[in-house]
Amino acid sequence: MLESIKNRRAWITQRLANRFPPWSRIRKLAQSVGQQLLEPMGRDLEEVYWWANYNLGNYLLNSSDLQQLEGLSRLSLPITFEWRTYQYPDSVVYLAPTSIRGQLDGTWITLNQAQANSLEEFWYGIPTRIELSEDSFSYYPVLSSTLVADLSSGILVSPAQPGKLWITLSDNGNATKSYMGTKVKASVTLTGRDIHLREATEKVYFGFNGTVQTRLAWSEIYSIETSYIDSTASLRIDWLSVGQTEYLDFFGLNVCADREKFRFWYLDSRSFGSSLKQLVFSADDLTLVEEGHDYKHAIYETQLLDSAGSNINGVSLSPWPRRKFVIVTDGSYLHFYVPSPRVENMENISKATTEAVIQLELEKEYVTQGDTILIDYNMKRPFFRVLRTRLSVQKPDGTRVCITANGSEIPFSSSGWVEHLEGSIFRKLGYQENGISYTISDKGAYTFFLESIIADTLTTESQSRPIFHTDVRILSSSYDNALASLLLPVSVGTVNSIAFDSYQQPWVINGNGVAYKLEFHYDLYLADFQNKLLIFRESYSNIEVDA
Amino acid sequence: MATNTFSLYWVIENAGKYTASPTAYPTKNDLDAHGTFLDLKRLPAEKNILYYKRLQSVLPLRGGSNHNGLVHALTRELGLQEFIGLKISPVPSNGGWRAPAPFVRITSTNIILYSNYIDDDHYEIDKTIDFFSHGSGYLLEDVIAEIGTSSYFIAELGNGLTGQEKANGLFPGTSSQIIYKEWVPANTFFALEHTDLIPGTLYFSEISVFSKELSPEVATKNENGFTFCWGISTPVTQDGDYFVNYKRGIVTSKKSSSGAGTCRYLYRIFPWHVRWSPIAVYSLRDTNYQSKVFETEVMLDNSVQHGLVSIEGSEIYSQIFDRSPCLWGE
Repeated sequence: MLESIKNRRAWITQRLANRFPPWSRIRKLAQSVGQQLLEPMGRDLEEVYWWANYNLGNYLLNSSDLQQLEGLSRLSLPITFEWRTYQYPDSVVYLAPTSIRGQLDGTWITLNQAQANSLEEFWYGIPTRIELSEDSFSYYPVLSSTLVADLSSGILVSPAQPGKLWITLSDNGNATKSYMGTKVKASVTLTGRDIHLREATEKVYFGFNGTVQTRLAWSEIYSIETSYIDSTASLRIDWLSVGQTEYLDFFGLNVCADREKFRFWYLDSRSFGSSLKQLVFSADDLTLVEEGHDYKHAIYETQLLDSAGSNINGVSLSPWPRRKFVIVTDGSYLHFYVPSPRVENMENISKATTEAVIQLELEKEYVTQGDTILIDYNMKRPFFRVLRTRLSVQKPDGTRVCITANGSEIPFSSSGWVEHLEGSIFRKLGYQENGISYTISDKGAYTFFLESIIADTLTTESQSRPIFHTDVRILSSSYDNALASLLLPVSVGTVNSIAFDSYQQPWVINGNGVAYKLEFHYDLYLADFQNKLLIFRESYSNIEVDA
Repeated sequence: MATNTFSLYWVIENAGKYTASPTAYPTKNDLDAHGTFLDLKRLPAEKNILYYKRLQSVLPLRGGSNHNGLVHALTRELGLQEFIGLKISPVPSNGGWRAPAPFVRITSTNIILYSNYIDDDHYEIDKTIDFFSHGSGYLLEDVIAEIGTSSYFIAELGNGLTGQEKANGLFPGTSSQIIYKEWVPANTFFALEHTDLIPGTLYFSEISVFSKELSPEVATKNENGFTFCWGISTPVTQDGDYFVNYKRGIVTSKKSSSGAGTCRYLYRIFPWHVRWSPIAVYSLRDTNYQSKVFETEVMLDNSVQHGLVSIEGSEIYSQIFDRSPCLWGE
């Protein structure tokens, strides 16, 4: 498993939890003990699922991963060469070399060891350097966004690079139309020449507004026909994946059984900068995507930071095909992210009383900085007298404050306790019968504590025999540091979008409408300590090893 | 070397610096496995994308022993690429073409432009462009310029080419295609799969349904001389009457076909996209080619007799003998 996703919440965990009844804590709460138990299994299951899907793709030529390693270079160190070692009486542990540099076109580049010297990091990790490829074209879509009514006057441009095309349909009202008693789907028929220069026709169906990739690779399009598409709808055809606004989950988890959810990603802007949003839909069948009506409604939104920890203003997002990362550009950098929520430190959960009578109800478990959430109390067993409660929160910076009934913060001290006179504020349905609204002003883990003093009888004697309970909930104000923030070549200028072609090659389009093909480079090495061998992904003319 | 292996604490050894050149270490990936299945090896240091494109072309552009098969296979094996070399179309005029019956034939050595082509015995040639050359090239842009001097045809260069490519890589072929068998739908008004049918080449298997073809003069005018609007009113009145709009490939008949009948026809494909490859393959049995590499002599009975190898031919053969130790004849 890649190091960067070892501490990420697996999407499958919630799916496993959904097998439990709707009222159970394991289904409702990501931080429930049950889900914490499922999480490691879910993570491994997701890994197995991803690789099964990846290998299935490679089994077919058309869906092969074209970014597989195509050649390595290696250096055999002389027999006299010795690594640095930790020496114990009974074992030897090799230490990573002090420095390894590679010479490329006369300049020396410092090479990093693949994280944890792992083969997977070496093969499927993130790049360390971006360079321009030779290909660059003025970017013209095959068909720029055109009203279907005006399609006959639309100008078709041959794709600068032949390949599969992306067709984007928007504003088409209902996804399916009724025709003579049956439901029919909207479709677009392309006629032209395929990549082998043969005349070809392809019909593409749309179950919903969105972007669909063609099955054939095209070198020229002669004509477009539409059927069951409103004349007020718009159509656009691209040879790069730039027409999309939302991207379907590329982890291969989108193929799901009835009423399971699948997810889309998109880039959103907030007052702090950019965020990565995850929309979750429930599928009634695999052809019709509708907004979820399942019990649990989950939307993650992650604040995006660069690798140094500053907010970014992203302009374009693209998932990296057949890899586990999402790439966001802010105009001059490419930032690489893992699109799954991090697992927060759950240690404080152990401070909760088992079966606390007064429990915290948080509206959500994942929020973003600036969000306001509702906090409510949940009385699990009625007919107990609540004598005092104290709601407090430990913020990501470590400070702890009390929260009053109107959501404002006061210093954490004994003054934070709220006395509940019999029948005054605390009712069976909850605290004041509505929630306390609290605004999240920082990123990181918020730990909410609800301390309560209750009495287990209704007599006044109970004053002398109070019971002390604490409930703890963790709220994650999601944020994500980029795994790498790589500077784009200066000659490109400020870019507007990052996209991939159908050969899984990255492209950027700058403000002048010029598309540049990028090359990802990996200045990494893998050390085979036993055999005194170094393996590289790039072909350097010289390597300097300093043990 | 280890100096103090008995210490309870660790020891750092310093073995100093080492500089050397790494060696290439080819690896195989899943594409090479597909290459094994499709019998196409990766070229030395070939990138995934190019190899993938070559692998993808194995099934659509099959290799074989005929001209096209050889060119497809050789082009692919050498890591080259095929293009559309020329787009040839007749000069338009009055909604039709200036040429009465335009036809283009590309042979291994020349392009023949016919302004009026009925069949192999009845035709008018507009222009013949001889592009065969072994040494200095006859380029695609030269061919385009030559075609441009014709008053009946125009040509343009295909996508991705510069015009500096040698013209002898054009695939031989004709601008008309034969459809041997097409199912006729059970209808009295239908469109065939292609347009621009060549008059006189359309034959139906159900003779009773399609027995008398009405001429355009009869079919498009009623007894008062008014022109019919196709699809709304039809002039076919007798069983067996039918009319063909050859330009649009639309057939109107009095009787409906049974749905099991077929038809055959020739149709024109304009603009004609002519495939081009950097590889040119010639057959020694090709008479056009023979006339270029042998001295030819026309005998009294008009038959052509080949004599000695011409200067151009001897150059080619000496180059072949240089490379492969095969012998000519017995």
